[in-house]
Amino acid sequence: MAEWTPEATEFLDGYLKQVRALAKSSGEDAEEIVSGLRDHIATKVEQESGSLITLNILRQTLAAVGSPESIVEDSSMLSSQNKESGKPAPRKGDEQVTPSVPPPHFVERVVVHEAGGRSRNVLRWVIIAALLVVITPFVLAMLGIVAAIVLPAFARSREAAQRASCQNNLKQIAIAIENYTNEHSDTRPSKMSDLYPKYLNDANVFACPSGRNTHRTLDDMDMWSAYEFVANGNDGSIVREKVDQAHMPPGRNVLYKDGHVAFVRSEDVPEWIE
Amino acid sequence: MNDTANDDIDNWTTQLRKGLLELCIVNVLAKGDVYGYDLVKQLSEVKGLVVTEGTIYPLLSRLKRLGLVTTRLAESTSGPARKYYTLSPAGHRMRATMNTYWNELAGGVVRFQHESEVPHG
Repeated sequence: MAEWTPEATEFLDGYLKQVRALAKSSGEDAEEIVSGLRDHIATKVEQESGSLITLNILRQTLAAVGSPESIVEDSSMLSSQNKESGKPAPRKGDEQVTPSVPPPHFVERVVVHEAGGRSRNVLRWVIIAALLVVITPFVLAMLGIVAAIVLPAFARSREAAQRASCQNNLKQIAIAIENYTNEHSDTRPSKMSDLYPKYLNDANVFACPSGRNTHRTLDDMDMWSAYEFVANGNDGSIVREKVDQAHMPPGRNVLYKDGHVAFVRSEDVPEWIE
Repeated sequence: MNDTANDDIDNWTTQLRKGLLELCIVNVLAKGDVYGYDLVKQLSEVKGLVVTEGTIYPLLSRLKRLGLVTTRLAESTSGPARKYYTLSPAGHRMRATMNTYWNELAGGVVRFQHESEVPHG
């Protein structure tokens, strides 16, 4: 493998960059052309010039390969099917033009200021802007539809979980009531604070996860507790949720004498609601 | 010849090279895989066919885009990896069509040349 001096490497990079820019502005497959050219130049210079590739050797090689302008212009003349040549064909002198390496910003400026390149750029931005105008409302509408479908479903599943957690609280309260009653000669507790902390030492159990009341102190547990004892439960209920909980659909969890817990919708709530 | 006549000849040779270079490329590639540098060397043997060596790469790129040529990279023992160009089945069909057309066209041209060389009177 031959060794390239940094100057030669830099010169070749600049040369290929110029070819790439010109090819792009002519609508050619710039990367394919540059890839083939790089391969060609490397093979040629290494086969014909030995193991050390200097800038001078590379310049001589590139003179045979052709200037970036002659490569792209000549090929576009050769590959054009309809274009009658208005320009003079490449002359012999053109073959000996040693390519110069313009700085990168110069190459970009040349491309941008070419009429074809500019109109293509303008067209590209117009298409992008048009797509944005058309697509953005469509995407927003789709997001709205997806949100309309997903959010209620999410809210429903969250509420179902909270309702189940609330029912679990009532089951724990039922056990605590049973223990209290056993120790108090079959007398039931009259308020939630009777159960805490001796029979149920987790104060969170007295709060419904769907509840609105977040102000909790142990002193006024009977105020903030989500549950209350039913004085005259003709339907067999002994503990119910207070009316201000936030279940959806509206309703309350109720603990019955036999220990089971059920959710009762508001429209089905019996007369024990005030 | 004056400048206008020179320009006209230049245009004529350019037009003539148009297509002929492609015809030569597909015929060289029909013999087997060829890497770019070797392809250029073979084409350069036809005087006046290739003006600058780099010219063939945009043409090869176009043939590849049209599906007439495929490429592959292969390691080389004597230098950098080489890009080999291969004629695709579609390229072979196009080559056959191009050769048929060229043979008919060249036959007609040669006949005219011979007829024009017949001494008058």
